[in-house]
Amino acid sequence: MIILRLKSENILCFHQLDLTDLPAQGRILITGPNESGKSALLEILAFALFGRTANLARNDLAKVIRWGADQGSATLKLRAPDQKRYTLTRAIDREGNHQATLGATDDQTTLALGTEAVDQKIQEWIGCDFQPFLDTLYLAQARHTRPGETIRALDGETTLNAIQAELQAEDQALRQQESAQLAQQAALRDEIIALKIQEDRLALQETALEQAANRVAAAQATVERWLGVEAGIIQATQRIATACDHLAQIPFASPLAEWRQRGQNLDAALRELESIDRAGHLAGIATPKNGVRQWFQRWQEPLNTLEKNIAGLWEERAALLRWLGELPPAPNDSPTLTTEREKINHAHHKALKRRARKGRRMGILLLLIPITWFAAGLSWNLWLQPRFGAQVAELLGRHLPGVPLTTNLVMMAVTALPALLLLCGLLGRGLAGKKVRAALAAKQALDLQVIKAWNVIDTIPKTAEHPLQEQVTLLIQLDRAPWSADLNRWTGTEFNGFWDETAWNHAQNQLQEQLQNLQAQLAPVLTTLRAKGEQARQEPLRLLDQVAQLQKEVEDERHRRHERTRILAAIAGIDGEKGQIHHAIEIRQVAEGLLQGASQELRLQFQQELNRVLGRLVPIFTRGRFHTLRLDEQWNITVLPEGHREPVEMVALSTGVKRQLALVLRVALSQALLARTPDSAFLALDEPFAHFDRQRSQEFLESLATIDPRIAQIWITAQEFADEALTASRHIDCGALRTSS
Amino acid sequence: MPDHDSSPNDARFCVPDPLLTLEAFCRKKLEQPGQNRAASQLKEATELLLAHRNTRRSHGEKLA
Repeated sequence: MIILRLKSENILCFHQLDLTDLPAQGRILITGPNESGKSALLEILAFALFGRTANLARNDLAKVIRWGADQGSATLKLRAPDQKRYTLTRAIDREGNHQATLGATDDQTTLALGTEAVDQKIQEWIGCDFQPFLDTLYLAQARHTRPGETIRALDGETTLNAIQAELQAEDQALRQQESAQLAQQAALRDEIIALKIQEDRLALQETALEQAANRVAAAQATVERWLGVEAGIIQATQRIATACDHLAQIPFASPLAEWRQRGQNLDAALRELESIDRAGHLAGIATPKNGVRQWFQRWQEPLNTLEKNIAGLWEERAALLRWLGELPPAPNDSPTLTTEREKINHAHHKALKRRARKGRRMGILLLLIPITWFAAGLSWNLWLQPRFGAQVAELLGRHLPGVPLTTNLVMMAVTALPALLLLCGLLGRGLAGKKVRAALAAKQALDLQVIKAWNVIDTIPKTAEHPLQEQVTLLIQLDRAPWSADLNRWTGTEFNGFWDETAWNHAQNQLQEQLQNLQAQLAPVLTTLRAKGEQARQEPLRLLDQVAQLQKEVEDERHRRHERTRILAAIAGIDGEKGQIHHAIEIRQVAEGLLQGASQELRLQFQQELNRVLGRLVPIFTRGRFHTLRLDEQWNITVLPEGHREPVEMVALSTGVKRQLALVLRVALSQALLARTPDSAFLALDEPFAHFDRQRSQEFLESLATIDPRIAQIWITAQEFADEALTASRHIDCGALRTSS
Repeated sequence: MPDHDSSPNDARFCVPDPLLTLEAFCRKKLEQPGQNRAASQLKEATELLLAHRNTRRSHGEKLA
């Protein structure tokens, strides 16, 4: 960076200052008597650049304002490393309000606004902060070079220190994070303790809940049972009422179906009583049912038998219908009417044919007897008598003495056979006629049987519509043994009550009365049961409240355990993170060790380079009186004078030599600074030759001009310079400036 | 005797680059034999430092 113009107003001792057309290359010599403002001029330059001065602390910066003024300003026109021209303006008031702007001179664009932004840009261009600036490019009066601090800035340690600071910040953040996690874990463990979980409590609660649920189920079952009893009694009452109605509705003189219905109603009423009694719902209630049941059974038996016999009649009717051919025959049926009739007809027809054949045969025999008699008499008389009469007589005389051999006798003997045959024919025809008569009789009997069958068939259905007593009478008239005898017996002495309407009505009335009594007894029982049922219904509700409470406790306990699991997982997760953080901290510690090693290496390299450069510069600036200037690791300075073998400490040297060597060290450090920037730089030296004699001053100026062309612009203040020095690029007479300002 | 004939350029300061020095130092340490765990940590620390170095380089290094 090169200064092209310096302008100020009310800064330090200058009311107004404006140094224009400053040379970019060469020496700017500033002369003047004491208190003429030589040092102030360089202080204004430093203030314009950094907002600082060498002699004022940062919090006393307002003192830079000229006495009597309320505010001051300084403006620089400079050439930056990018070779462009910029204008830097700073203003400050007595309150310490400090403003700064930096903008391009040519196009008036603002590059930085505000002290911080401007300071950052200036530091970037110059290559260092204000303190290194004081130790390198700006030599202020009464300020000794502090090489240690500056060298640490110049050798690059600051960069590594910045990294180290970052690492330390990260380390600190990690440790804070670790502490926070420890605190978080402690808080989580406190939360677990606060949950107050007892390991066996959940099992006990679940057992209690299960028991309570069982009690609720038992109570609900009790309620159901009470409700069932209540419903049973209500139903029993209704059935009893129905049975009473049925008993009342059915008259005595009714058909069998209604008798059966009556029996079923009675049976239903009795069964209802018995079921209620079996269920124990009527404990304490007298149920006079046994007598009725016995009466019913005694009454039911003939009814059943009668029904069975009537059913037998119906079966017989069906068999008759099948016999008559009105229904298809069953496999085990006897021959039907048709087959019997055919059989009788066949026998009749056969008998008729036989009788006719017998008749014809008798006719033939009646014809053959006279013929045979005539033929036999003729043949005996004509042919046999002559030939065999004697023999026959002899035989007769021998065997049948007394029997005469006559013609009539022979005739009779000869015709005996046909007569016998005729006799047999007469007998056979008589027999055949009997069979014909028998067949006719069978036909008549069959017809009569058919009539009777139809009578039975027609009568049986008709009797079903009659009252039972009439039905039985009609059926008896059918004379279908053997049940007729049974009915006679039942209607006789044994089951008088069955047919006795008075007895029946009495029994019915008795049963109805008992049922009504029972109904009357059931009413208070039902009321009691309802009261007990209502009481029983309260028990499940009470138990359900307990169950709900237990369920809530169980859920709370489960929730606490779930919460504990979650917290333990969180603690475990934090453990994992802690491990990572601890590892990161370890890595940063190792990295800091590396940084320290690298810083030491860097310092060593810089020290070696600095000593090398000083070994070159010191003989040049001291005209060979000193060989070199050395800095040890503690930045103690020693020099090696000409002719000496051992180095000499600075304290042993004269003030002039010290200032001379300090200037050499400053030049070396300035070069170190310039090594970091690509631009040429200015050098500001305030009274550098205060303790120099004229010759040394001249030698230093000459050496300075040749040591490094990058130090292009050199500001030097002195009370006076040699004449040849004043031939420099610019000579500023501060005395004249003060007078003009 | 002082070397009056020395070239001015010889007096120029050759300032070591801090980040290059750091990188070289780390690599030198890495090449040294060590225990596995130490080597692993050293490698991680080196990577961490190089990451910081890259960050600073990307933002433009300057002297404080």
